[in-house]
Amino acid sequence: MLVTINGKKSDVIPDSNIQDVIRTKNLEMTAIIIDLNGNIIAPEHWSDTFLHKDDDLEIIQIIGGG
Amino acid sequence: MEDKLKIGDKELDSRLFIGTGKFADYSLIPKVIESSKAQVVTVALRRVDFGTPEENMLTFLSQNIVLMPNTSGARNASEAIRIARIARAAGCGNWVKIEIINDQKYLLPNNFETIKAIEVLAKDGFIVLPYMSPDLTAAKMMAEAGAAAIMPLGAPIGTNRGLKTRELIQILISEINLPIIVDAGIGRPSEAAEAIEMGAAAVLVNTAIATADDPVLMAEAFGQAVDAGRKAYLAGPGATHQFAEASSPLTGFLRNE
Amino acid sequence: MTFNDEAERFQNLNLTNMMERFTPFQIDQILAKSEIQWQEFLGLLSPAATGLLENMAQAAHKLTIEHFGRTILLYTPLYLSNYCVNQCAYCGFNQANDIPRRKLTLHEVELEAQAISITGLQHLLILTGESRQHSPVSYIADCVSILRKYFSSISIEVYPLSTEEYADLISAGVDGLTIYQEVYDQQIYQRLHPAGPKRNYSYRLTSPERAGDAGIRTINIGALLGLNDWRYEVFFTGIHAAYLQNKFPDIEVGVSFPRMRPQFGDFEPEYRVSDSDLVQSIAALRLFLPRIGITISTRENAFLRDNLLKLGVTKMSAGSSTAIGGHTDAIDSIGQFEISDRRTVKEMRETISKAGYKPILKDWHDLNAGRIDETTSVT
Repeated sequence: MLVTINGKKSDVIPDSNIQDVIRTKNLEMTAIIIDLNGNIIAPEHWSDTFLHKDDDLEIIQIIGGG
Repeated sequence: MEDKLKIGDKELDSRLFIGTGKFADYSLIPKVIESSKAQVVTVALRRVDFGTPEENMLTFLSQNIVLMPNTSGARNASEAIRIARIARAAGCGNWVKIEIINDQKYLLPNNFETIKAIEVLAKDGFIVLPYMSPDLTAAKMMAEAGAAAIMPLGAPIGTNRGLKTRELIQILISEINLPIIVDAGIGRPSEAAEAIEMGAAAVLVNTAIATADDPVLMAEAFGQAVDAGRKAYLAGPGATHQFAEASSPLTGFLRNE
Repeated sequence: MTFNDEAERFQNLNLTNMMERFTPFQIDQILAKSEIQWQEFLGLLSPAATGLLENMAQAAHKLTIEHFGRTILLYTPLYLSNYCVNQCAYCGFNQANDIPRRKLTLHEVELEAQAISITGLQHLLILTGESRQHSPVSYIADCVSILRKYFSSISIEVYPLSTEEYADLISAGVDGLTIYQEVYDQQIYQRLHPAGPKRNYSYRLTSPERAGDAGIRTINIGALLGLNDWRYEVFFTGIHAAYLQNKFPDIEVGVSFPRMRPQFGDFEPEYRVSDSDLVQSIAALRLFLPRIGITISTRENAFLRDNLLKLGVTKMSAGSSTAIGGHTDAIDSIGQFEISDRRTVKEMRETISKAGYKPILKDWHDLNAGRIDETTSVT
């Protein structure tokens, strides 16, 4: 199933939730922000938010900046 | 004497804002904040790069710091608005530095898109601090749109060239009834002192500290320079005389009166 | 918000006390600043500043040249009518004065225009007394439609109008407004204006803003010096001008310094304003508002005007008559006040040139008003 993750088309297993995606990417859970189709998804909903075809997922982190 | 800088809902003692970009190591940042006594720091939002994930910036910042996420990367108002909302939702508070750049050569900000973004975000409850090219009309429109302060650039971002826009910033200080914070361009503590001495409410410094040989010591120097500049501003500089002795008096004709 | 609110804020301050507290040392410091606020402007008008008048004059001279170059714009007044329903104690056109009343016919307006335009002047100030019966807005508009054929800039100095009336005159060809508050002190204002619509202090005070809203290009204000303590009056004129500059960044704001002159009637100005006071007023205003236009009229004598030339003045009247029909001498009538500098336009131009300045006869031509310029062929 194709979804967009951080601007790139990515193939994910159907019925994946956000938590699954984060796990496969090996990301530190406390350091990221999830925006799905323009809505922020709170961490407690990552495991019950499932991805659908053509979803636009942004995985964002806070870094140093001026 | 109490001399606080009031912006939005905050009262600040320090007039030095610090940017956290370009540091070799995030672990320097708490030390820089401590030595400079800064209370406001900027952070940025980025898409995670899955190849090289970075450490979580926020774990290096203490709770009593005012976070000012910037919208760097935004090329227009709607991107800036989106970034601001993500930052707030992520727990960065309601301050935002609007930075909209679609000039990749000089990295100069787009004042027009910035005004549009301010309008939306100010109505949405943000404390909006726009980074801008010093222009009086644009600054007036930003103030009207609901900006909490105006942040004109002293020189193009990252150049360390100092207060090249001094005359224009002076006009903003005189005409705009909001704190004027010089952002970008300040390369040395003496330039930070100069900006504050002429009436700027604060300065935002990043590159000059982050790229110093000893960032922690440089941060301390900036903190002291800003304090000195503020004291000089409050004290009111003495007279420098331009009209020492007139060679041909203009009021001599009054003597017969 | 209007200037009414702003003026009230300042009227509540004890300006005289504040002024007396300034020391020469403080004035010295003010003179060193590149930009000054109202508190410092007040300082420059204070008695302490009088001792530093030469320094002020030098600074004013330098700033004026920086912003205007060595130029003096020349204009002349044209009086259309002396009918008046007001009783201003100091004015020759006072309703109670028994003087011959008349207004120019449109034909006479054209004759006056021709006589003036021969001198080369392109900036005209037209004046009437306040009489909506004899010189209504429609009459002024009719005069303007004749005068615009001869002059590139027409300013009005008439009774206060509504925004719509100002807009009507602007579309008829008016680009400038001159209106003096006469005296900013409200009590003195009420005493000197015992009758007529002019009693309305606030309506007069906010006239420049209505003209600004209507789209006027230049505004010129002033206080009649001699009716009150000049320091107080010049201060209010200055903050009024600053207010207008801020509210209308696209309007050219100017200030006149009309000093009381003898006129028909027996009014004696209560307050003396010396030449030195006038110099201090002009220099202080220049330092407060470096870009402001400053006008000195032929009320002042030739010697003084020649010396004021370098102190901040940017605009002077020339070849003036304050009588109705005074430019054609067709009719002998009594003027509003007495002219002191009677030099012709030609003589004024020569004097200004000799002082190293350039006399300017025209600095504005409206391309947008749809008027047809005689020198341009329209195909």
